Amino acid sequence: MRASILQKMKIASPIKEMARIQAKGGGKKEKSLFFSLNLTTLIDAFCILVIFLLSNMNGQLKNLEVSKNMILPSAKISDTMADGLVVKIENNELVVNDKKISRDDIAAVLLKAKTSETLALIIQADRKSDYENIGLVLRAGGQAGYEKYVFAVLPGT
Amino acid sequence: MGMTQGSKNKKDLNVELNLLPVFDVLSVCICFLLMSVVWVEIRSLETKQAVGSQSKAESTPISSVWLTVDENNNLTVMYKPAKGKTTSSFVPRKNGDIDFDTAKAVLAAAGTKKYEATHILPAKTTKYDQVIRLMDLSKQAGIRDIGLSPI
Repeated sequence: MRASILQKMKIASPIKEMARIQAKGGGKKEKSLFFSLNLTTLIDAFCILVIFLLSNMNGQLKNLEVSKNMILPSAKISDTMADGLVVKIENNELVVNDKKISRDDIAAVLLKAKTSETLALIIQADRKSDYENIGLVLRAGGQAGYEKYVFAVLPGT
Repeated sequence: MGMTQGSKNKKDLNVELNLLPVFDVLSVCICFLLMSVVWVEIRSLETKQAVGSQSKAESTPISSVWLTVDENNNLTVMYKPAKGKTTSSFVPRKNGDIDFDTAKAVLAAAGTKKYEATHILPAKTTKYDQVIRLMDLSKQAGIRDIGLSPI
C-alpha cells in the first residue's frame, strides 16, 4: 500500500533526530551525517596559488595608468618600468602629474618636478601621436637636466 | 602506535590541526592578490638624446647608424664608422609607411658589423609608433645604444 504524505512527513522526536545525525553505528542504515572535509589538499593548492601570485608581482610595483583613449605602441624587446616623472601626451595635450601643462611651461614644470631621485623622464603617448610633441618633451627634458628618457610600451609578440 | 589508551596522564599524540583559520587566511590572501594583480604590464624602452646631451670632450667616436625619417616616411640610413668614410643608403617608403622590412634587414646587417649605436632623427609628422618600431628593430639587431634626436 502506498504510504501517505503524512506518514512520510511525520515529525520525529529531537532525540531521534540527534541519533540520526550522530549515529553510533548500530544499525546498517543509520549513518552519521557528520563528516570531516579533508582541507589539506585544498590548502596545498591555495599555497601554490599564493606563491604564484606573489612571484608574479615582481616588476609590477611601478605601473602606469593608461586611459581608455590611449593605445600604447608595442615593442618586442623592452625592459621593466623604471622610476621617474611621467609625462602623458593625450590628444596633443601635455599632462604632468594629472595636470594639463601648456607647451611654453613644460620645461619649467619638468625642472620644478625634478628631484635627486627622479632622473628619468617617462613618456607615455598614444601610438598615433606626432613626433613633434615627443620632441618637445625631449627638448624640455634636456633643458631640465633629465638624463634618461623612457618610453612606455606594451610588450609585443 | 602513538595512541595510549590505558593511562590517564598520557594524551593522544595524534593531534588534528584546525586548518580552517589557515584556509581563511589563504582565501583572503588570494582575493587580495587577484585584485591587485596587473594583467597588462607596461614595459619601457630606454633611450637618450642623440644630439646635444654630451660635451665634445667626453664623446669618443663610436661606429653608429643614423636613421633619418623624412615627412614622406622615406628612410635615409647613414653608416658612420668610428674610423673611415661615412656611407649612406636610401630606403623609400612602402605603402605610405616606412619600409620596416628593409629597415630591419639594414639594421640587422649593421648589428653584424658591430655598429654600437643607432641615432634616430624623425620628422615632425613621424608617428610615435614608427619611432618606437625603429628603436625596437635596433634592439632586435643587437644595437643596444639608441639615441633619439629632438626636432
